[in-house]
Amino acid sequence: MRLGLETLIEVKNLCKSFEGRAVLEGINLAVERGSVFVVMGGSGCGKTTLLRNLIGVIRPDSGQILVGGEDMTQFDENRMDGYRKRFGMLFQMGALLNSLSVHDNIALPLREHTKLDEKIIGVMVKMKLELVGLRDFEHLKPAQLSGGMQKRVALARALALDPEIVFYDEPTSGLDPVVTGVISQLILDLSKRMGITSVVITHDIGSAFMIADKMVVLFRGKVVAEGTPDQIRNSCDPLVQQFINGRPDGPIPLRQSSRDYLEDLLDI
Amino acid sequence: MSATAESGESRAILFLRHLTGISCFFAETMRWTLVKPFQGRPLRLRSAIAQMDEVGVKSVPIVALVSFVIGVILVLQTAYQLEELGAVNYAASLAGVALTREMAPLLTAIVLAGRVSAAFTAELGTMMVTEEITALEVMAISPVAYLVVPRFLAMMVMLPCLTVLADVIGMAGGYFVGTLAIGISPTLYIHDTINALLVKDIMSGLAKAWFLPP
Repeated sequence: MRLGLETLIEVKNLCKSFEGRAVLEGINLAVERGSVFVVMGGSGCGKTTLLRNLIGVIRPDSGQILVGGEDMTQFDENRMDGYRKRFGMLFQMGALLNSLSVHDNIALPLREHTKLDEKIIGVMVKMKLELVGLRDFEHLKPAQLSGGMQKRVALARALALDPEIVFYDEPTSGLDPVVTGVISQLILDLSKRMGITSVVITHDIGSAFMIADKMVVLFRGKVVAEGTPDQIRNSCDPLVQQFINGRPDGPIPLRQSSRDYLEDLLDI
Repeated sequence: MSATAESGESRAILFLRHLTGISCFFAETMRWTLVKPFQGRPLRLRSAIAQMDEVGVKSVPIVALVSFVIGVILVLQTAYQLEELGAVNYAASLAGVALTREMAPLLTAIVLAGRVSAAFTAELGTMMVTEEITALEVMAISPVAYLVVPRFLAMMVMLPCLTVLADVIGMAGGYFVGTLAIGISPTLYIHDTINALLVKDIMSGLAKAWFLPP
């Protein structure tokens, strides 16, 4: 563990259900300042719901999310805006505003939240684009970029306000192996060189083991394993082993239906 | 039977939830339009002006076409009826008053509801799917202030403008058919229209333009 002394984000007993269906059932985790924290789990295990709680888009039913000691689930509108300026978020599909050019997309948070001169904003946009290696693409629209480039521009936008924390939602999904490697390296560099705390939601095992300082595995709304990449790799939990090795058979069932097949067919 | 009652009940709840959602959304829009500008969060006028072009200027051809046709129909059809009473000349004032008070605001609102509101819905709906709206929220930019208020302002400004345009073009349509097909003398047509119209008619028409919006 590199820095890892001070806890920046602490999630305590977080529960959330949608229309009576529990999605998160008492999540506990702690993210250390400057580390890369990876949340893994299959589709539908509550990863995205956890993330949406962390960024304050939805509020939990119960539990706390402490950021620097303050419970962000209780923040009002103004304090939530203040908190949101402290972190950046990379969305799964980039979520760049399609009506704006690459330059304007990255300049947007700067224009909204600072009183900087357009010239300085221009310089900052160039710096952020250089960071992700796309400096010549400023005047294109997001639709003219490839998926991987869109994600890198989105990362540049997430970094525009020099955040303390960056949340990544499936940063490598749908990308080719080389771009996956590039994005993973970027996440590592940001954390090592700039001390940014990263929370990465992913089910890309390779990239997860490459970047993580600490990781947790979620299953059905609960944390089933927690530790360093080595601890996870050597875990004897069959569920974790099935997940990281991608075995079709094991404790994670193939069929999700609860009713008996024959009964269901005869019922029609 | 109980299943139908249950689904009826849940439909009613869904409907009420929908109404509540719309009301909250409207309240939020009004808050960002009327209250927040006085709390140091200025309106986005530049974006509102861009939307005015989209909403107003680009709607001119369709509003002009519809109001012209309505003016023509109004005079043509009323003139046939008025002819029986020997009061053809009244077609001019009838068309003038009917257009400014009722028809022009109504047809402008309907045309904009069809043309512009559908475009808004498609645009914002797509942004919802691609997480652009969540992204704005997460960047501490209110999506209502950034996306909704400029469009709302553009509508509020452009609806009366387009209504005035519809008034004028509708009456021009009436004049066209009234003088050429019905045979009312041009001077009489203009004279009658001006005499019949009160400022009150035009004002109430413009006020309606605000309250009929989609």
